[in-house]
Amino acid sequence: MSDQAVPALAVRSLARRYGAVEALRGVDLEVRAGERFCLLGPSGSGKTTLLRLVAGFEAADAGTVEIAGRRVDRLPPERRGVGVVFQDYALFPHRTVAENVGFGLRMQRMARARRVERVADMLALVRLGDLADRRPDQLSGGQRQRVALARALAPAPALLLLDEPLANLDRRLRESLRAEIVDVHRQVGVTIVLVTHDQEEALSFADRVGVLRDGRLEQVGAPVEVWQRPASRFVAGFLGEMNLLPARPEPGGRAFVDALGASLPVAGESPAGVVVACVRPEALRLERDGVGSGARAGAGVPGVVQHAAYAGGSVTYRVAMDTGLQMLVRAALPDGRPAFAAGAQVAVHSEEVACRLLPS
Amino acid sequence: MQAAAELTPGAPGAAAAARRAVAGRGLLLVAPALLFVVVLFLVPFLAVARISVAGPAVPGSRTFFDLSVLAPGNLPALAADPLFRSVLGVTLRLGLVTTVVCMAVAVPFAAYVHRARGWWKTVLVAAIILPKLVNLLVLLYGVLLILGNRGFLNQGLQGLGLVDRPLPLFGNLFAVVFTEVLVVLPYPLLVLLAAFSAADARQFDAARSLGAGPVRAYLETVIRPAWPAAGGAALITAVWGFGAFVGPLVLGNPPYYTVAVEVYTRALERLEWVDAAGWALLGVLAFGAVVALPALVVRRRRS
Amino acid sequence: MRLAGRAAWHLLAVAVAAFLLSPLVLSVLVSLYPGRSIGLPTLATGLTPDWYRIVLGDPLYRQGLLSSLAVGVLTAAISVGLGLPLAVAEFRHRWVRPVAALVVLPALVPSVVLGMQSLVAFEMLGLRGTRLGLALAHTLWGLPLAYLVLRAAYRRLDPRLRDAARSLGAGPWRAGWEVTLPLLVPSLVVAALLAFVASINELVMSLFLASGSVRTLPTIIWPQVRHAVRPDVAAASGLLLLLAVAAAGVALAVWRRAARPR
Repeated sequence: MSDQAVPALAVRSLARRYGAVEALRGVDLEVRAGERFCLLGPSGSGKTTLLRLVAGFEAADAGTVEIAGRRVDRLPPERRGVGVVFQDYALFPHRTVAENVGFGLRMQRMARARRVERVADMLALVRLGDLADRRPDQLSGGQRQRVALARALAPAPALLLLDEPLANLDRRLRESLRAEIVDVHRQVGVTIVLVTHDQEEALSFADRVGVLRDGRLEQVGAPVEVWQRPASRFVAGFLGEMNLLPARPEPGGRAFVDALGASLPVAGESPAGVVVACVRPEALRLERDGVGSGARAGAGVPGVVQHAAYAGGSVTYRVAMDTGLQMLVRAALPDGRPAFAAGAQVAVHSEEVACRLLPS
Repeated sequence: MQAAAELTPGAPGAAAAARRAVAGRGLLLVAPALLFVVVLFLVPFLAVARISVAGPAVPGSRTFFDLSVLAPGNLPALAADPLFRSVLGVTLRLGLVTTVVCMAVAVPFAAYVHRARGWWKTVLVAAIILPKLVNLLVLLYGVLLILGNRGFLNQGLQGLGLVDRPLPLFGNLFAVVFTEVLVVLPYPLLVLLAAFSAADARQFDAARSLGAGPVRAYLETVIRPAWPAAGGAALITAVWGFGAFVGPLVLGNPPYYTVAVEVYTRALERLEWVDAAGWALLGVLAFGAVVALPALVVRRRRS
Repeated sequence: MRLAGRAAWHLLAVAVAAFLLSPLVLSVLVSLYPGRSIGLPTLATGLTPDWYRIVLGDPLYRQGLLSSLAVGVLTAAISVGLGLPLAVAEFRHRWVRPVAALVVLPALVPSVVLGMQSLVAFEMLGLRGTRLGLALAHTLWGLPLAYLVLRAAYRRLDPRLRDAARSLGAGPWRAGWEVTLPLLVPSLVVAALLAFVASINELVMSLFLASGSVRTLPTIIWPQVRHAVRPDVAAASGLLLLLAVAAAGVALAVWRRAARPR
């Protein structure tokens, strides 16, 4: 945080191939000092490879890695000053919690008295002070994850890498631990790069998100930006559900979407060539076919509900349109009961929602 | 931007250097074992091969062979020797019979042990492992006590009045196979047991839920996946059957002497080293060919 | 029908187990028989450790026992010392596999051949008739055993533990010392004991390599088994069994302790 101009992590043209598989095809990325950055992508997109190259567990085929302005790609992992939290924790089973947390300090040859103090501080930070003498197999999943976090943070790394750290935990624990990591981050101020395939985790956790696909970064930006203005069909589809509908640009910053039988205002630019309009399911509305259509702007497009996925506070309908398209429509449920069941004849209405256009 | 352009060309070199360093560590780790196996296995084996084509011992010298002579004719002559051929035949037959008997006992017994539970399973596993901890001589001693003319089996049979004279349980093919099976059986049992244990119990349940009876489901989900391991087990059994030495020598009498026994008597009792080396070399080569053929067939079929 | 089938099944298993155990049990019983010739102890005769006392008092047997122990310990140490680095290297580098196959090969060669070629080699190396020579020959079998055990154990280790140690500042050797080695201790013990047991039970190579002053226990028992059957041989064999079982007991205890949830 001393100098905002020097990125905590700078990766340039990084490439790695395993036999015939290109895991990374030239990735450029800068992570700012002190930020929480999230690498998001499906399995096989190269996110774990990127993390392993940054940590130094593997050597890249091409490209460079700088941490806090220092070139590290020739250095072995022990000299990079990077803390890593692994998905399955990778706690040393033959050592106690305190010995695990103190391991990095011992490698730094920190004096014993200071080490004990630092370990106590770190355990207090993750609220595990009373479990210092336990062994890892006596801990719950969430406790192990917190020990792993304390262990990675103890040597005061310049950069903390988290590899799907919450994937093995149940949903409630995941949410509370995520909040805890954010708290720890606020207190310690270390730069964090988190790898995940869970878009919800990425959006709620990160200051900025980078979406990886097939070894390339598709888009980097703040969660709101990536959510609202996806740069590609892939990003649009990967971050939550999205209707991608063929559209024709019209003069005056509008586009006509055939599937909705409506012309919608366009947010952002219109790319050249054939385009699709991105419309979120929550931007659409369902009504009983033929009811209330006269009074409104759009007449609505008829279809049949195929499936209603109830999710407590909302319901997502999958609607088969008469044109053969499928459309997702989400409705909030203030009164707690879905209005339509499978088989209902409905009309899909679009208000004047702004849509984004992407190359088809 | 410019910095990136300058840095990038260096990176492949860095990666290569890092990998070279790791490979260098690998060499360091391998070197002792490699040195051991070359100096104490490969070179001595080649030395035996060389001795097999050396000349007979020069009277008065301290060695049992004459390396200044190169007599490649030794080997074809030995290969044509009727004694060698008959002993090799006995050895291979003994290996085969031992393997067949072992596998016929091992597959069902390993399946039984795999299905057993609790203390009974512990007893059975101990019965497999304990003989392996026992010296061959102890086993042999036990076999002598059972099968000998005044052995327990004959005493028992005579005591019960079933036979008048001791049965010749000793010094025949039965005694040799009995001993070899006893010595070798634990190996295929352990290999098969490990293979059966590796089976996924959920597959068995899945097969049952799909309508297979318990026996059928067991055959399909436990025995069949272990088939390659059974091949390995048979190989180990054959190797040991072929190398059989103590059993045939003590319990077999000359008609059941194996190549190993002949090598031993030539080298240590008659001090005919050239002959012994020839027997050893040709025996190993013949056995290697016999074992390698089915292994190659299996491999080809799998690929 | 069904019941009969099941009974036959159990009977077969009992028969095989009895077959495997009978020579072992019989020879142990004979070694405890309180008579001058071979016999089975009964309730009337009782058991006696006399034969063991005789064997342990005999300088020849005593010296053989000592040699067996020394050679066994050496064999175990060399086997593990060579096998562990090989197992580690095999996991990391593909090119090590042919080397590893070469190391396992001696286990497939009849011991008569190994004994013969070792005699030739040791004559050249000046190791003939030494305990080190015997141990090196026994390592031809001990090393494949130790290597196979350690390879399996090393593969079961989570490679992320090493990654974690490295990212916390440990160099490659330090990570091996701090993390890999402690986690491999149970397997190291098992590998060492397997090599030890293989060594103290080895007969054929020892027959080739033993000399007047260095003779292992099996080579001393051997001529007696071949030519005469006396209870002192049973007792000497019993001592070997005792050694092997003790070694296996240690291995089992270490294993249990490692597997026990802490």
